[in-house]
Amino acid sequence: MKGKTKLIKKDGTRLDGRKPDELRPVRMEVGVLKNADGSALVEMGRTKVIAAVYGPREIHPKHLTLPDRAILRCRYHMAPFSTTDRKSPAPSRREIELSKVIREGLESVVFTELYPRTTIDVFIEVLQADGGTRTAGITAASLALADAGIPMKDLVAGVAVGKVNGILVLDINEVEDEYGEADMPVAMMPSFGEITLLQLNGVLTPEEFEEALKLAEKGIRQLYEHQKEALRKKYSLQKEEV
Amino acid sequence: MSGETVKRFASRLVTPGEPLCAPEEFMPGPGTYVDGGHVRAAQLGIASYDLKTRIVTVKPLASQPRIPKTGDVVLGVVVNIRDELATLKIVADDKGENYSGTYTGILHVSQVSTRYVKVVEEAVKMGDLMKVKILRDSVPYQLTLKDARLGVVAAACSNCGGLLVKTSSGQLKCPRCGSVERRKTAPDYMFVERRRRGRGSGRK
Repeated sequence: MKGKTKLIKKDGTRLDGRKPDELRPVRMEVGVLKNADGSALVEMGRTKVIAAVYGPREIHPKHLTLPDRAILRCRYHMAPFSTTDRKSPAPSRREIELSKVIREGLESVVFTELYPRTTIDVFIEVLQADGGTRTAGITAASLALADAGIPMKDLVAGVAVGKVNGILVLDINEVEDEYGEADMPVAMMPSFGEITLLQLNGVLTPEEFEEALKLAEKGIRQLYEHQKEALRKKYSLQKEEV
Repeated sequence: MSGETVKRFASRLVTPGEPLCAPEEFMPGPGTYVDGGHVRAAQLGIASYDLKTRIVTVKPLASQPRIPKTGDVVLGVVVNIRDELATLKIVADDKGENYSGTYTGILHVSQVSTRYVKVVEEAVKMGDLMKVKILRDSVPYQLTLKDARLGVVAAACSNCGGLLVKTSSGQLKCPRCGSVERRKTAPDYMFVERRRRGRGSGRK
């Protein structure tokens, strides 16, 4: 059925009423967990992701230690109750891959050389999945890193662009991902415009790819404003005391 | 200075990656870095521009990562002991604030005391909570006890497990079974024998 299902209505809006270049309603909150050194919650429509950061701390097993910088470890995991069909809690092939791409997407922004011989552990837990969980995860993880006080080059924000019924759409949800023609998650450093994560599932022409990247950047800029807002919200009270 | 300039260089809350100024205007200070022709914030915090020294700094707002460093006095628990070596789990700094996770430290006999000590057990035992100084912040951390303020802060009786109490003569005595043990105690040992007159009970 791929590509046959009608996902764009006659008036040009999508099934959930959004315009093609519109994000889902976004909610971000920083410092949601007490035990973690840094934490954040990100909601994009019905997708809900929580991220926790621990460290810099001593590495176990010790042989992973690097003498000149910290290592970054990342676990992306979907809760068994996050999907309609129960998801086995064991890490799947997909989750292992996403952990890797998210780790690589964050490695380029963290100044790891400031904390030699330590580890920074990032845990991303998907509480509710409705498409775009990896990009929501990396967005939450970068907020959690900032909350942990770890020096970074920039924040990272991510969004997925898809192609449904031949039209490029921003921030695709589960239905659009499943029945659409293409899915392209992108994460960027918004201040630099540098891409830290880019995957593409499906088929796009070179022109469409260029167009999709532009659309993603537009979405990421909006998300970046939300991120800054969320960080300011938590720390504005402390600022007044200074 | 024009109003626009004052506004640009006023203290404000910044997030990582935010451009602060050109490196020609202000030198990058702590909490900042230079990239792409801008001085940028490396941390979430308050940017402040020092017009005298021409240095821009970001004072962090989020709690900072704390890692034990050379020269720090830290609290640790003895988790393993051999004749010539004690292994400690460093849990907190000398103010008692926990680190994120624990760090492994090693105390060699040669660092136990300024006088000759044959085996580590003469001065410390398993499970002791102690104040130690970090000699070298390599992994594992090299520790020392060679300082008057360092030593065991809390210890349990190796016979019955009761908390040892420091007597007026400086010995450690078990109030339950009465056995006396040898330790190198810190001056702020937590359990001190109650004197008849004054309130000489332990601090904390």
